[in-house]
Amino acid sequence: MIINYISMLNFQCFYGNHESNTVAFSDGINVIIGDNGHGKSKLWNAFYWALYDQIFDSDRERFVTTRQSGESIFSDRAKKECAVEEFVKAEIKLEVVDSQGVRFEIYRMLKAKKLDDHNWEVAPTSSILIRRYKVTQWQKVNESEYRSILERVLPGHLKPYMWFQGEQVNSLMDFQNQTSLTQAIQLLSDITNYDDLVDITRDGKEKSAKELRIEQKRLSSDSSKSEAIERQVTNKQKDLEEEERDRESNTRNKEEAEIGFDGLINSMSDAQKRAENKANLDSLTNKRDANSQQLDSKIQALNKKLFSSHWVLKDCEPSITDFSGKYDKFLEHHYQKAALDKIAESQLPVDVPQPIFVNKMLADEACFVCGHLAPKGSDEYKHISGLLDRKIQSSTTFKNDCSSLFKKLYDNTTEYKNVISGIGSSISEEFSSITKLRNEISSDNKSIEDINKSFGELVEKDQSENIIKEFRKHKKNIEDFTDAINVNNIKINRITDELEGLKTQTKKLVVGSPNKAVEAAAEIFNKLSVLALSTRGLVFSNLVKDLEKSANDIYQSMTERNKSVIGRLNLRIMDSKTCFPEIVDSDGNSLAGSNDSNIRLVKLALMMAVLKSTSTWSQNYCLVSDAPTSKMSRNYAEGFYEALGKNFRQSIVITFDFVTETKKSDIKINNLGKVYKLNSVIPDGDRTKRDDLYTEIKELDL
Amino acid sequence: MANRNEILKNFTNNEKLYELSDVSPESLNDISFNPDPAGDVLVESLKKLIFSYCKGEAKITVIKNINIEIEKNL
Repeated sequence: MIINYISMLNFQCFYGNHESNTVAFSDGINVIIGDNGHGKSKLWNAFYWALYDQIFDSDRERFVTTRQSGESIFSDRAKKECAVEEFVKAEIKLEVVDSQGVRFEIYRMLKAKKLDDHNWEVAPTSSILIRRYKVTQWQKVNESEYRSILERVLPGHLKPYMWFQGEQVNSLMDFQNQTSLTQAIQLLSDITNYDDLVDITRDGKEKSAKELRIEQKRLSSDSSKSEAIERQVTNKQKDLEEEERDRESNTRNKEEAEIGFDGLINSMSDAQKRAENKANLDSLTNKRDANSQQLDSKIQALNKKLFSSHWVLKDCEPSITDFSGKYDKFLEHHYQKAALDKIAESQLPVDVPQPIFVNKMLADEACFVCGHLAPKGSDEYKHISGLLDRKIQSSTTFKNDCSSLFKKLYDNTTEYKNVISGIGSSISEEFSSITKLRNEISSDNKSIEDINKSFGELVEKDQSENIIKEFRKHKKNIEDFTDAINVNNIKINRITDELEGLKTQTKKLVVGSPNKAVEAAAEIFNKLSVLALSTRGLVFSNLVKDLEKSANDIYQSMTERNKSVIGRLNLRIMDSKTCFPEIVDSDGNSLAGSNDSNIRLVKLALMMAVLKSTSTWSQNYCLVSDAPTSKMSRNYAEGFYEALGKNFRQSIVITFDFVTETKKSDIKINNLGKVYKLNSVIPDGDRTKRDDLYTEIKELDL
Repeated sequence: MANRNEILKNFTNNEKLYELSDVSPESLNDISFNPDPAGDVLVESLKKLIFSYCKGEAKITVIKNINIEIEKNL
């Protein structure tokens, strides 16, 4: 909602009634100017107390509740004027208006009873009242609606980024903390929807895979073996999860070490050498990593190549030659036998003449075919009687004919003869390529080591002992975590292969057809899970790119009035889930030595970009900040106000800036709203006494 | 409430979808949440996932709805 006005009654340094302590606001940048100690932070506290029942304790740099604040909520002067046994009351009234034009009044009140000059009985909690303006009058809102109305004034997730103290900016956008910006992105964007979808599909994948395994077990030809496999699958999945968690943690640690390492490198004095070394280091590291990956794949593929490239047949050539010789001899013998058979088959066919006629011919001692006589005992008689035994003779030639099997074996071996002759060179090519990769990696490692040494020397030249130690620690951490990640990758690949093997074994045991819906669900959920994870990565990466562009646009516009080198904001995406902000030069190298105000400006630009990513926020809610530009030069501060005016419909900035101006027209800011000055008044001039103090609020005119 | 059209658009802009399914990017130009009985089972399941999630349904219900969609497409 947009804020119409705030008014205070005896709240902290704002002594007196609502009428004398009212600040009205318009669209644009509303500026409340005050010198140190003139009530700026107390005014900001008034906003915060009205909505959240808390105030910011500057001494302790944290928010405290009404109960913890106690009597410090009340004006000292009001407390002094209160008689013993009487009550003092502090109250804030905030009028807001929603996008439909409906106005609400929010009252926050606290009472305390004066027991004596030093002791108060403060009510344990403040009370709140909300009224809505309906038609012609204010009406009390039902208490059950309070929470939703307060949430509409400023949604809880926006609170830290829209209502903040200048000194909170560092912790809100902590550049030393990897998760700081990521948390803001998660809170303020819809990326959590994609996280939910990843979570749902992962669950679906696990459930459907489990159901498939149950179905396969049900149809298993060997249920005890299936159960044993199932147990192995469960254990391996646990191992895989642990290994993946390890890898995630190692990756995070490595990235942290890299950030520390880069930070120290960038603090070196020899900028040119640093840039050259950094470029070489990046290029060598990328090349070394790509080669290492290729080497890992090649080594992992060696097992498969034993079969897919037939390496397992190496040195089988003599056996094949031996077999070929034997097969030739077999064929010769086989054909001879077959020829004899052929001769037998070329004689009269079996059963022609039929045995009955043969027996008749023997009885008549004459051949009915040629008409010759065949007296008993003659050669002709013997020939005719031999016809009765033909069948038995022909069936004995090949009792077990293995010729087709031997032919198949021969054909197969002939086919592989050519392949086998090339296996030796295929193996040697593969191993020479592996050796070449290993040599390249080793040479790159040596060069990387040399560059790191040179970095070390540069650091040693101009840095203290502690920094050198820090540098070495980061360098060692990078190496250690890189090794650990490689080990994780090898283990993950091995476990994944083993799991695939177990799945194949389970499938082989299945007898019959598994339920098609169960099979399809396992396949579809697996694909949905891959898709959800990949889309989440893409959305996050696009979000970060848009954010980076938007923040840089705001940052550029903020710094237009300052001619110094400012660099640009780079959002480095880490492990596709987090992103880390850094200020870099035109070559992408971290810009060291940015001054505090520049860093504050970058952080504010980033916060504005995050809030702007959903246009309705910057249009529907009011940004309220106390001293956001402290430590900034006038140019930077004016740049900040320009950006604020361009990007937010309404903002309220409580500031020391423009403290010397006496007229609104002296403030050269576009989209300026109302301007007020706060002034502490101590009637008798004794600045050590606060119990007479009150604060004047004066609107500046043109 | 999550914007289901925006989420679906981000999914259909992801090349991975086309690697995992038989559909082409052109065929999904006019994709909507209306059920398409002749549609690819992965795309129909994806639509169900997003629709059901954006309706604020519980995780277990979303998974159940996808299972029903898969069975319908067998």
